[in-house]
Amino acid sequence: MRMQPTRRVIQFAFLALVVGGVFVLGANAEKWCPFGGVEALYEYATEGTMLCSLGVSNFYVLAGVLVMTLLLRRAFCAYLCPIGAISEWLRRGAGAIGISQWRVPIWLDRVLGTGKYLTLAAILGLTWWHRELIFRAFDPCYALISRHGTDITIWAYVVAGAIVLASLLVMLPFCRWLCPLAAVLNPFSAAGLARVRRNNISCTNCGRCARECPMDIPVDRLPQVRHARCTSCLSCVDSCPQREQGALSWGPPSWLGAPWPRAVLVAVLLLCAGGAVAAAYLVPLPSYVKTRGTAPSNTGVVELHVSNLSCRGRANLLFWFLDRNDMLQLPGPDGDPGYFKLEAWPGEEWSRVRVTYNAAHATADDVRRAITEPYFNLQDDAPASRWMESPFAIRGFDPLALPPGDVPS
Amino acid sequence: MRTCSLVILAMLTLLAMHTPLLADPGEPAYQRGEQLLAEGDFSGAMAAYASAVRADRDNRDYARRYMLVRRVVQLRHQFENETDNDRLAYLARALRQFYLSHHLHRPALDVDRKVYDRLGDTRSALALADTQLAMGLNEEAAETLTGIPEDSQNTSTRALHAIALSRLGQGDQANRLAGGVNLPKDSGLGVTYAVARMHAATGNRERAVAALKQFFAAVPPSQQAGFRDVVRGCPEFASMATSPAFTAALNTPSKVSESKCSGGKSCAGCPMRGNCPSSQ
Repeated sequence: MRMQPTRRVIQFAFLALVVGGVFVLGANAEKWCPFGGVEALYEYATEGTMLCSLGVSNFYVLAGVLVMTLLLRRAFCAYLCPIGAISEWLRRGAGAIGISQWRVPIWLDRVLGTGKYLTLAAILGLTWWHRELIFRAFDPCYALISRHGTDITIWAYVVAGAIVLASLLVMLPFCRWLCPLAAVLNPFSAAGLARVRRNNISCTNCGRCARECPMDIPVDRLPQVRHARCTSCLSCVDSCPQREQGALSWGPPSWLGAPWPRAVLVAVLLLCAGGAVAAAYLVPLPSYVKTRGTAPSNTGVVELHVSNLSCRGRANLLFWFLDRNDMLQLPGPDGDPGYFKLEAWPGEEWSRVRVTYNAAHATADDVRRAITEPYFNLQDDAPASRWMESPFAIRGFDPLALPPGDVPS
Repeated sequence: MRTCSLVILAMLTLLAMHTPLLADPGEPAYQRGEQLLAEGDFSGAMAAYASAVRADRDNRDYARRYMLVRRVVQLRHQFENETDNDRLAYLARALRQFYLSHHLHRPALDVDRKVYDRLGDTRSALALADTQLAMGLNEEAAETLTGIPEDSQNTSTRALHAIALSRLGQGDQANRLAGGVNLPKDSGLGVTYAVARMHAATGNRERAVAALKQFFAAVPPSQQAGFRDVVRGCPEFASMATSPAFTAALNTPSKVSESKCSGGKSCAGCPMRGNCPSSQ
């Protein structure tokens, strides 16, 4: 069975899923980006919050991609990555209309390949330093999936244009030289289980496999392909004229057994991707956790659905309203500010929120009012003091439904 | 015939847009609430906003407006019965800020007077004098400020005193007072604005413009438009309103970074990221 038609279908299906989800359903695709999981690692580990509008789903997808990479090497790049798909199709389309591919000399390929590590270091260093997705403004992928979000600058489109132009001349330039996720995956891919195996006896050394390889791996000179940049696209195997004689095969190390059927590759891809999505829904960890005070022995919990809670910034604002120090402050013992813990799942429309509070002194209604009622932000400098109207509404909570005697007649 | 039908359809559409059937169902009640609030009828305004919310449950603006006015009504009731001085001061500042932002000077004066009578400190005297000046009660303002002991005076009290004296035609005394007022670079917004007004009132336009520039550079971007309206409405600046230097001062870019939530460009460049207290 040739892999390329199946691979194209998977690439197209995944790209259509992303585009449809973003432009038709208006979904937040950023929450499903594996590199978002890399960027948010430090913040989540140290503060318990995700960056910006990322969610814990980013971690699940990252885990799924890493497992996929340990089994199949960088198969994510060849089968699922939207940028990889578009870049590859651009080059193949350019080839179809007569634009020759530029084969980069090996030494230059090596030098340019270090660019992805530099990109990764710069992105992670600055993101972790600033505690924000500081490269959003320049990210061409984000420009697409955010439907030209407010953070986007012209540089995102300059980078996109450069990738498009380069893709017309070189096969997968971004994936080989600039992609920060590739830099993360490479160490895992180097230890990957599956590999292309070459049978020296049935191989006729025609060299077609090396010519077909989109990553310029010298397949015809290797007993097995264990390069980190191998994407398990199986273009080499499909192009081999001695394929039926077993000159090239794909599977685990020979000591582990016979080559695998191609269906194994598809199954692992779908299991890892599907497993990540399922985990995100079945084990929905909060993307934002923040606490005031020490938990008492008697706590109450209220689960709410709150509007306008789209990102970490808004979750901070929600925490700020709960943390208020006016008459609607969540009370604690001896009149001190009471304990509460905010867990939030920022998203579109109505977002899930869970607030744990000191049940001996506060009630669930106190929590609802602290979130929704206006708050006078008192500052020493009089002009800086102002009324802050809460942008949050709680589903099912009627602002007209006051406790009796709350407002004098 | 077809053209005639299209014209009739267009006219009917225009008519329908202005009938209650297709218009915002809560709008009439909301507008009534705005009118009652402007008249100082807080309970009536609250009831009108409640009607607007009932008429249009999906309109978040109506709900927020209702909740704000309800909060003010609650605070007014608490203020009347408050015995704790710290809480009284907080209630007073909250109510005062609301009243002044809605140009309700009489209730603001009542609040300021009550707090001053109870606390008698510099802050309460300053607030009272400021409201008295806003209402044109210049003699009363001067009397309030004269009542502050010398060792309790500060830049703001001296600045307002100079303004009051200037309005009362006591220019020499006002200039003497203004001459002794300095404005450090790191002064707060309240002090900076008071000094700007003082310089304008005593005829020192250059220093007034410099103080206004310092003021607007320290105002967050999301609040600049509001403060421009305040400055334009201030009588001290009336004679400078057409001057290019004054206009340029009002358009001084803010040096304060804000997050996207509070009107700035992006969370990435905001110093409050990770601890953002700002609203929409």
